[in-house]
Amino acid sequence: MKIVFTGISAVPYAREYLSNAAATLRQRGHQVFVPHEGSWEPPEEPAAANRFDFEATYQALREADLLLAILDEYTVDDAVAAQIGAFHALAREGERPRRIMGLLHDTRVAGWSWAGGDRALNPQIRESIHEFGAVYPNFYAALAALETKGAPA
Amino acid sequence: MKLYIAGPLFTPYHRAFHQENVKRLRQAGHECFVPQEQEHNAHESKSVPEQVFQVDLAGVQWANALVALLDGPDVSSGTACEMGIFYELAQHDPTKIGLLGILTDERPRRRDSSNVGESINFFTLGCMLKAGAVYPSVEGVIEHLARWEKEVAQKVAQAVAEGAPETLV
Repeated sequence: MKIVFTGISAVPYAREYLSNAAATLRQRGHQVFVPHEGSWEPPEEPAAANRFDFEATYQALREADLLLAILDEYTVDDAVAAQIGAFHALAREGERPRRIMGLLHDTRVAGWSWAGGDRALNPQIRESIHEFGAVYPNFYAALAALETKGAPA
Repeated sequence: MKLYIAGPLFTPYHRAFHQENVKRLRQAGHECFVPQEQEHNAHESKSVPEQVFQVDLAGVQWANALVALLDGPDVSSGTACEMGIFYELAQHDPTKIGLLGILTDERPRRRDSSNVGESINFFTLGCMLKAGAVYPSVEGVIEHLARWEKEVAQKVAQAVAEGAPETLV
C-alpha cells in the first residue's frame, strides 16, 4: 500500500519518531512517503533535517492509498491539517478508494490513557478522518487496524 | 547541581527527548527532578491538578537551576509557569543559580525574521535571558552549567579566604 505518513516536522525528535515508525511500515512491505524526508525512499539520516517539498508532498498525496496523520498538539499542526484537507478532497472526488487514519497521543487533548478519545479534536479534522477511517491512540493500534482491514475498501 | 527539568511531556517523542537529555545531564554529574518520572505523571494516573502542582512545585523549590524545553507553537503553559516561579524564588534565594532553555523548534525560528528574539513571547524569553541563556541542544546547557559550577566554586573559595566559615557558604 502507498502511505503518506505525516506529523509535526518542526522538531528533530518528532521527525525521528515519524521516521522510525515509517521504517516499521516499510519493513512490512508498504511504500511510505514522509514529508520531512521529501521522498518515498528515506534519506541516509531521515530525522537530521527537514527536507519538506510542497510539490513532492502534494504528488505523494495524489498517489497514496492511505494518509496516516499524527494529530498532536492542542491544535493539529497546520501542515498536517492542510494535508488532511487535500487528501480528503482527493478521497471524495477521486474514483480510487482511499483511507485516512489519525494518531492522537497528546494527553492534553485525549487525556491520560486516552480517556477523552478523539472528541476534543477540531470537528472539521475529526469528521474528515471519520468519513474515511478512524483515530487511534498510538502507532501500534493503527498498525493493527491497518493489518486487519488491509487495503482501502 | 540540582536541576528541575521543565517542558512539554504530552507525547511519546517529547518524553523520549527529555529522557535522552536527562541521561546526558546525569552523566555530567547533575541531579535531576523530572516531572515525567513522578508517579502523578505516569499513565493510568488518577492524580488531580492540585497534586501535580504540589509535587512539581517541590521540585522547583529543591532545584539550583531550571532547564526548560521551549519547543512548541508556543512555550508550554506549564513550563512558562515553572520558569516564572523559579525566577521569583531566585530573587530571594542565593542557591538558585539560573534558568537555561533548549529550543529545537523550527516554527519560532521562522518567526524570528529580524533576529531580535520575537520568536518566543517576550516575557517568557526575557525571564530566561535575564537569568540564563537558550541553546539548540542539551550540550550547550551542560557547558553553561559547568561554567556556573566553576563560578560558584570560585565564590565559595573567595568567601572562605575572606574568613567566612565554610559551613555558611
